[in-house]
Amino acid sequence: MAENILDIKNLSKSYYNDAGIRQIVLEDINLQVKTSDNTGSFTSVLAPFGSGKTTLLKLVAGLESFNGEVSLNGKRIVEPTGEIIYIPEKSSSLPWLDVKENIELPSKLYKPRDKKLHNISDLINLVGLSGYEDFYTSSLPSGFRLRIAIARAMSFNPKFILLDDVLKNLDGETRSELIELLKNLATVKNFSFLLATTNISDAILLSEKIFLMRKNPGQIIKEIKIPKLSQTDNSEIITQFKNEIEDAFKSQGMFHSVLVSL
Amino acid sequence: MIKSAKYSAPYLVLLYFLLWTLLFELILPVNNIFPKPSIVLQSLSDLFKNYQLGWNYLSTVSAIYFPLILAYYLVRVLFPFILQKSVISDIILSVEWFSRYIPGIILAMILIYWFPQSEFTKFIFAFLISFSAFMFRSKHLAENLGSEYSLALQSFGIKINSISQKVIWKAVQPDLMAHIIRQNIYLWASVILFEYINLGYGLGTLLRKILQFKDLSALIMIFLIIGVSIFISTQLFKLIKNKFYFWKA
Repeated sequence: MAENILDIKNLSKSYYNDAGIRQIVLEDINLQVKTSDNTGSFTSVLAPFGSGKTTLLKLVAGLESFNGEVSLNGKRIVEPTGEIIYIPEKSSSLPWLDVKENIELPSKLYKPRDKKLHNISDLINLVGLSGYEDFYTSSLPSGFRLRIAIARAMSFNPKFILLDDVLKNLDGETRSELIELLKNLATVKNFSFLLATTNISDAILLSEKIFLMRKNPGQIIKEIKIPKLSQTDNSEIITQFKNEIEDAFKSQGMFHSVLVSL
Repeated sequence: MIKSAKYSAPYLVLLYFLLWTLLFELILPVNNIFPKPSIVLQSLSDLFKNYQLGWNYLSTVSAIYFPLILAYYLVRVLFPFILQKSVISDIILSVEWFSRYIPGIILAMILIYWFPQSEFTKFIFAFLISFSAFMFRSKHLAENLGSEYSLALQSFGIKINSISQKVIWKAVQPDLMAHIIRQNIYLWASVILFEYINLGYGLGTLLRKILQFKDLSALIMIFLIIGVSIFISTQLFKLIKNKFYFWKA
């Protein structure tokens, strides 16, 4: 059973703003996610708005340069490899392609064509898009477009799929459906996800492990392990974790109003 | 509340034709302001016989659309390089700054000075105008496109050149087509003006001759031909845009 370890050590990132002043976005981020090819996992980074969550995911995917080290199974990530796939918050489905073409797109653009790919029809079934293969994505609601992005990411059999606050703009019902889908993909289909979110409830319901990140600059302040929960679970357990998370942020001088609460 | 009236263009055109016919064919048949519609219609055969309208029209249309098509495909091929940050692309794109303040006709005059009465020059002129417009516009549109398309695909290990050519180029097409539709009338005006100054073949040269002979009915007929041509080509571009570039990225 091959083990996959995503290791982030002393990761820092700073930008120069328009006034030429250096702004530190992320400072000394350290976290480790362990999983294996036969057991998927779901990990979250819970942080307030503007704390550098998107930046963190981009760095992990190798999309931007940084100080520090990000490695996958001991191999340093300096550029995108296709082993860690990034799904942005906004839909990345191409409106001129139908659902199937959108999912197939990376395999058509990737060179050399020696990548071991997942069967596209299976993926369409897996994410609940059967019957919608020929639909243009612009005619579909945002929940469907997220399913397309997930199926597209899975087509490459990646070690990790990075989700950038993807559940943020979904309505209640669609959100619940997608939470179930993501849990199913992690537990039954053994895909590993790293979600960056501002939503406490999403993080608790989905994750086995939550890293709490503060802002100005972005730093990991606590790691919380969560038992397997379902959306119908006793709210007492969920409230207990919620309080623990809120207390951790309060200790940093940050209040839960900066996060989306339960 | 004042409700703005919406007029349908074909009805307006019909109304103006009726007014023209009524005023200048029936009420004021003899005047120095506007020719009778029947005389304007008769001038069409004169234009073909005496002014070689056919050749001149073909010369202008080919000088507008061949360079436009060539420029479009060249920008398509060069698109990944246009988006890349390099010294060469910076130098090329610095021309954009000049084009904001110097009208294209100055370029026409320089080309005419260098190559007087050359038929080929207007093709170069139309190409340079179309190429620079497509290049600047496509770069601007690509830069204003959300980064989600590019980032999501880059993480698959797909090369940025491939994403630029196959995804970003396609994503900017609806707006680029809208720009071509707006550019169409400007290109017609530029090429006709070029021909008017350069004197060779083309509708611009024909217009100059007509003005020299003070042939008002031929002048009106040429304006009608140019107007109809621009209208048809605009409708054709709109059809292409709606049929092939229907999405909003």
